[in-house]
Amino acid sequence: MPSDQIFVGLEIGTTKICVIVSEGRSDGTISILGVGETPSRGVRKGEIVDLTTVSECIHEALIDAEEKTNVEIRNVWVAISGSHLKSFNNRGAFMLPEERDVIIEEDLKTVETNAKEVSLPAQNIFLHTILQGYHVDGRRDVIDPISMECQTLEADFHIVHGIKTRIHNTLRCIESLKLGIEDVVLSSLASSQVAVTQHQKDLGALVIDIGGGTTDFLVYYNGSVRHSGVLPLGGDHITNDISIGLRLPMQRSELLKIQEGSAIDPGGADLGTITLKNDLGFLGCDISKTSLQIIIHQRVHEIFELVRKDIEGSHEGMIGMLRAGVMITGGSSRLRGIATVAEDVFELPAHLTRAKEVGGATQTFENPQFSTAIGLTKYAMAVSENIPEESVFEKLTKGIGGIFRRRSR
Amino acid sequence: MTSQLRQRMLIGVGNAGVGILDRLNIENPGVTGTLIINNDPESLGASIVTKKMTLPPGDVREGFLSIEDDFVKAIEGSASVLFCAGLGGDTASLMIPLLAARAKTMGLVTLACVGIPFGFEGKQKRELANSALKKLQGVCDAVAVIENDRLTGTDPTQTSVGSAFQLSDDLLYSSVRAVQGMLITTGPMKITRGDLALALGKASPMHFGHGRSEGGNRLHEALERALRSPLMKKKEGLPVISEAGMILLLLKGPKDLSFAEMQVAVEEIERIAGKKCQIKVGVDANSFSTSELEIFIIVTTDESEVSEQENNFAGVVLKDSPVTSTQMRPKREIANKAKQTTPAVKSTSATNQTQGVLELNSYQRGRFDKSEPTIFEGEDLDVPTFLRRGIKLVAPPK
Repeated sequence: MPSDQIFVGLEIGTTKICVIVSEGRSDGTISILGVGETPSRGVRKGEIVDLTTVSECIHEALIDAEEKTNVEIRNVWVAISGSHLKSFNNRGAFMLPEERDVIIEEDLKTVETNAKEVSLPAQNIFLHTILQGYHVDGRRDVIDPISMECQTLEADFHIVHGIKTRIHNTLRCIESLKLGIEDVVLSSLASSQVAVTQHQKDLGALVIDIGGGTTDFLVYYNGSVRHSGVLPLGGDHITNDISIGLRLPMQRSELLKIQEGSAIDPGGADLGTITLKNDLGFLGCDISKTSLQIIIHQRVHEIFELVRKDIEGSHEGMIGMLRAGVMITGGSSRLRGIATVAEDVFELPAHLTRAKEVGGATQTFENPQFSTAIGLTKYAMAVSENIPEESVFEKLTKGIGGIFRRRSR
Repeated sequence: MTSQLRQRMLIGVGNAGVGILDRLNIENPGVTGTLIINNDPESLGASIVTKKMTLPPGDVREGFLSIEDDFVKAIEGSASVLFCAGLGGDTASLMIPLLAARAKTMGLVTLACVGIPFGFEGKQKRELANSALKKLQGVCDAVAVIENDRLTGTDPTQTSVGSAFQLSDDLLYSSVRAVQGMLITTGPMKITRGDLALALGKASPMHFGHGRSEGGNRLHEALERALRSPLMKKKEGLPVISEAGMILLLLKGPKDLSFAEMQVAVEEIERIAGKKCQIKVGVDANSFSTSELEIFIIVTTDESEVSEQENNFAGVVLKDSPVTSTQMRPKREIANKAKQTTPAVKSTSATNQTQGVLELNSYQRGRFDKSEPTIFEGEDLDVPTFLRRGIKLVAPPK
């Protein structure tokens, strides 16, 4: 098998670090060869707070993946998250010179550069410039404008930026392991590569990836990315709330959330009690199931409310236009009743989703907590032909970050 | 429509003005009341500000006439207009005085934040900027001026061109936010337009500092950064605050900004400022979604000029905020006010405190105790939702 068809995705999550090794197929799909996984330490709310410990965890996950797949990993695609990542939409315009009236490849780069001619906060750098569509002399949604006659070429972009030092620290952590970095990808953009279909993107969909430390979300409308955001809230907060509310140790709270937890609002109903058995360092006790559900429901409802508020703050009325509804993925999407709460908050149909159109290790792609890492390899396959020959540090420093010159799907 | 609901327009003119408003829009998505005016269609096309006006190439006066009607429509009904630009180029230098004069004829409070180019940018550019500044000072109620040459410090050979321009952009942007922030402060601790006009309505150099920080020591760190700003020094590199005649101090932060923090800031400024210094304090502790505290300081040094301005200003008509004698209270009074509103440590009435760190810390944050708090609209989201919403849990049957 040619080595250039092997893609490795690395996700440094708050609760786990995972490495997915996939093989690109000729029909455009990917097949998962294996997954390396280790519990995460040194990551809070999606951001690295202890470089040395995180490096050790990545190393463990890489060894695990290499042993399972028999592939020597040299380069990885990295997912990035954290509430420092912000986004906005902008239009770039370019008037063709008088001596020429046909659009050439260079003009596409110029409109992209012009769209980025905005003053970011001094400490921030561009992460992605995702094309939404071209306008040729006012004609909207042109997919491929090259060779078209035109006077003014315009293009709309979704631009993602973040704090330079925080992005660089993630990269340094990986480079300390002598690993090459192919590119850095926004986590929600990676998950949506496999969690939603092209048809759903065209109809309009909100993809929500609820992980341990963050909730990453992305809005697709008419096939392109319209909005993205990251909340520093996730499954860890639910566990913490249970621990505080029911006065239980964190580990016991996590187990209780997985085994008995539900996000459905209990209303006034009495759901009875749950008996927690004795365990090492924990004396058993009875807890109210109603209380457990109230705690979880309140937090999940609030997370979705914040997502809604964030989207409506920038795009009023857009949520109502998302005909494919809400797609929920990520480790915390396995919480019972989460889709019902989403339907209530967004007033849209909500579905739990995981990696689709993927072959290989079934157990892996059926698990929504691997959506981001699997999506990274799908993203890698889609864009690897366009990677410029320069290091990821150079790309980010020059503000090129994001190699999506063509329409991002 | 009441005056409270009237919009405060922020208008960026020329390339620097467009850059500032873009940055403002990026950092505050959904911000309203912004308008950009430029003669460069590419710069306008690339900007994310939605309200834009394109000036035709050629004569500036004709350009002004071509957009005058639209400009009047855009600012009509506003409470104030704040122009921002880097002076020195033709567009901003020639256009802003015309726009400001037009706004003034409509009876609006008219303010400006402008940058004066570096000496190495050429004599012609500086002369054009100085002439524009003079016109602006004749028209506007207050003009905040960032003099770029003062940013390079006492030893310009040690400053790279790139970092000097970056610093200049940052300070101009911060000064716009400072003036804008001072305009919108409400409540008992506010800086009035009269205070602003007193501090900025004169031709002497503006001393401006800005610092931000978060975490347990945010107040001291932010204050130190603000005081160390290059514009807080005289040309010889000496700190200017010890000779201050009047100081405008704005604290911008989340809802957990405590009275104690405000009091420390005022006392610290008082300690290092001259005895005759008058401090005006504004607090905006509602608008932030983070735990970051920002401090903006504007200092005027020439006391005699302040008094002169004070006298002159009595004749200036500021419709919404007439200058009254109560706004000119001596510094002790302001410090006392801070003390009065701060619950004494031993006081039994400490429960009257309605906002601040103490109340928030009484909630449990569990495993997030040592993490950077997640503040949104003044709430610490690391605190369980059911606790913040006051929802009672059901006790299990015994």
